[in-house]
Amino acid sequence: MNYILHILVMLEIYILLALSANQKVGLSGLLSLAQAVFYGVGAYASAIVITKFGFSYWLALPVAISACVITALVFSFIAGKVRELYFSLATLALQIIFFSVCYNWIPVTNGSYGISGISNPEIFGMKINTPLSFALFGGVVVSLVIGFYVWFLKTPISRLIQATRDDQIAVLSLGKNPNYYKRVSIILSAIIAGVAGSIYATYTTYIDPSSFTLDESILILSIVLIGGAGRIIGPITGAVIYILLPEVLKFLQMPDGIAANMRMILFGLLLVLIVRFKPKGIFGKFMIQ
Amino acid sequence: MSNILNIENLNKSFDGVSPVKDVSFAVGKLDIVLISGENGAGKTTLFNLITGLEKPTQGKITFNENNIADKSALQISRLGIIRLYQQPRLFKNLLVWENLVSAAHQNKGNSFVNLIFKHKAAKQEDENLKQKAIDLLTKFGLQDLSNQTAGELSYGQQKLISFCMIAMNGTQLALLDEPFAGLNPQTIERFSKMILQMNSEGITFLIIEHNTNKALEICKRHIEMKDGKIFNLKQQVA
Amino acid sequence: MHLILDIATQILLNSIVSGLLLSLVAIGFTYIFRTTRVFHLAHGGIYVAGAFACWWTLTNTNNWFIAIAFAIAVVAILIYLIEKAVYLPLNKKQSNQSISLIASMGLYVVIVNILALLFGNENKTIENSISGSYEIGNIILTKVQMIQTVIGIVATATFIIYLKLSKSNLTLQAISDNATISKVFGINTNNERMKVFIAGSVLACIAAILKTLEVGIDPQAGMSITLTAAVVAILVSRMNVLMVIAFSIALTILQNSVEWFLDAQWKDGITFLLLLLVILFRTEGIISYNLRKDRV
Repeated sequence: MNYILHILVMLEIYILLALSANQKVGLSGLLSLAQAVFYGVGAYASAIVITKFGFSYWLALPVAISACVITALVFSFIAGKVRELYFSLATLALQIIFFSVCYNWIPVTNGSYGISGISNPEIFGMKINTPLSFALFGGVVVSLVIGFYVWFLKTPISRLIQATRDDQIAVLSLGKNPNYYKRVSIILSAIIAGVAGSIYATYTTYIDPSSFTLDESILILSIVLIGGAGRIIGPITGAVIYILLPEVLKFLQMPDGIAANMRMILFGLLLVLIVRFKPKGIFGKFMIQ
Repeated sequence: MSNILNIENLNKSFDGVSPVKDVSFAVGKLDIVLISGENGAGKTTLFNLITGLEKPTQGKITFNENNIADKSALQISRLGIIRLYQQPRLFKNLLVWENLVSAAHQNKGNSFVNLIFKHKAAKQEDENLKQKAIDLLTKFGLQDLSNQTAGELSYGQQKLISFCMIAMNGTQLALLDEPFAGLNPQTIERFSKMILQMNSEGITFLIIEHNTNKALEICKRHIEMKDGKIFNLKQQVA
Repeated sequence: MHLILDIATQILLNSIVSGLLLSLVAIGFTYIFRTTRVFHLAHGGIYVAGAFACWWTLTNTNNWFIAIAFAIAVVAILIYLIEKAVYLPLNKKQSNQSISLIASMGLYVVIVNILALLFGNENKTIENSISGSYEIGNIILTKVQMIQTVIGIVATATFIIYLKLSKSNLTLQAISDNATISKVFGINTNNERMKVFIAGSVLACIAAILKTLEVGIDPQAGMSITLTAAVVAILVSRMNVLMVIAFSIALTILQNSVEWFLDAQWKDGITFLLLLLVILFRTEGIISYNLRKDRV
């Protein structure tokens, strides 16, 4: 039972990551190879202030969000300057630089030793420290974010964010600033991923740079591309596939060691097939053009 | 009637090429001016210079008595000059009415801050704009398209809808780059009527067109360009 | 003082050798990127596939000729399938570069994980690898480095000669500038693409084998060198073998200096900071003054 709850928590975290990627990639059309950076900034910011300054989770969260917003501003500066492939490459560079910083800035991040002893959150005096309580906590956060999107996708600003994706020169011609809409989008994306990071940090109570690598970014991107970008159901589907795939493989009696690789092989294959034959993804509304 | 647009000695040169050489003309308010000429005559560069996508090497561009030659494209479009491109530019993944509402000059809900702090007013304004969009489409007989995805429209429909976006914006000066290109005669008729309608509602038009016959049916003036210069400035009886 | 000079010279020597290896990968990546517009991250997968094919054959047959021939065959067949099944169809659909980048990432993940499945994740080395070194004054040149240098030079020279003899450089440049018009002029772009892919992959395979000789191979090794090669490709921005070699060596010198005088692991960060700055200051903005009539 605990195992199922653990899977549920990871699913919730990946749904958040997928929704954050959907904001940036799906709604804004900014192909980012650096979603793990926001994830990592959220996780590390929370971990550092909790372990080094004794902050409670609820104080750490705003700090993490602020750190993510600052990171997002760097990204949106770049988004305003370069286009398409070179933007993706710039995000690639930022991802690797981020990993380098996590790995080497030992006084702050502890490098490859990671940060341990991250305490669990407490709410109204109760500690959230069991798989069940975390699953519920995660569930609440996911519900809030999904609720946000149900509302957000009907607002004028989300239309303009998508318009900027579809034709930023037309947006400019009509007297609106495409960079503003990219910036809003990137900030939202960063905040959601950062929240996912903070949850991850307090759930596992230990983080190290290996969770926030280029591979992780590629994975998050694949999740949203496979599930489909645009609608809410797409990223959720992608996250479900990613989390449940190894369970399906285990059910099929595949040994653990092989299952991990097999999952990535199937996932990679799925990505190639989707790009080749169904570019909108499974449930997507939008095709990367 | 003062001039809405004044071009004086406009020149664009680089690398030994001069797409626009010493061009001067004025556009009066509510004029419909045709600019014609062969390919390479400098018409599109002229539009690029007016809208701020390119910077002039020399010369003055004044819009409503304001100098805009050194302003950015965004500033110029905000001041009230909008351009229709040769290839229809619209938001392919949005619905037609969403395209129009996005084109509106002002909408509180476009700003995140307003959305949060003035959400009631924003919601009301958005609904009003949606109604305005549908009314506009109805006025032009295009209301059936309002719930279609813009990317699924035919080429002709896309051109008409992108014009509707300009109409929705209610700008002062619209630059149309070959609006009739690729359209069948009925659609050209329809488009012409739409232009005249919006002209009577206050939009001044500068039109590049190769189909001079059709264009002259609605244009009040005709400027011919050749090799970057104005070849012939005609005042045509409207 | 003498010591610093010795260290600097040693670093220089090491950098020239490993820079040469890097350039083998970078030449392939650059030519592929400039000709086909594909940001071929799967190049890293090809790299390790070749290395493992060689290593496995060597371990089983102890015959270098068979091992190398097999590795090259594997690599050629692999890239042939990838181009035919993925890149070319995407190109026909007029997909943009971001799409082929994503496909390439997917392919990389598949290749690397299949290798991990077959061979495990640990580093594999070649038994009875060549050891020993020469000493020139206080500078050490290992026998492996000697072999890497010689074969590296032979490989690049062969490539240059091949380009000159087949007049491919002009053809590839034409395709790079405008593929559609090239077709009109009778250039068989599909063939040229395939040739470039195969040539690039063979070079990468050779580099991988040479590297395996020195430090062994593990499935993850391809990404790092491919990304560095990509940095070179973007810095060089044109298809010129000598420039690629020069930049590869320069970049390696930079990396090794950072490694020596700062801290080992910062070299990736510095390399990509360089890439970021180049991207920010070299490429055009969104209102590109490249506005040609057909774009606007």
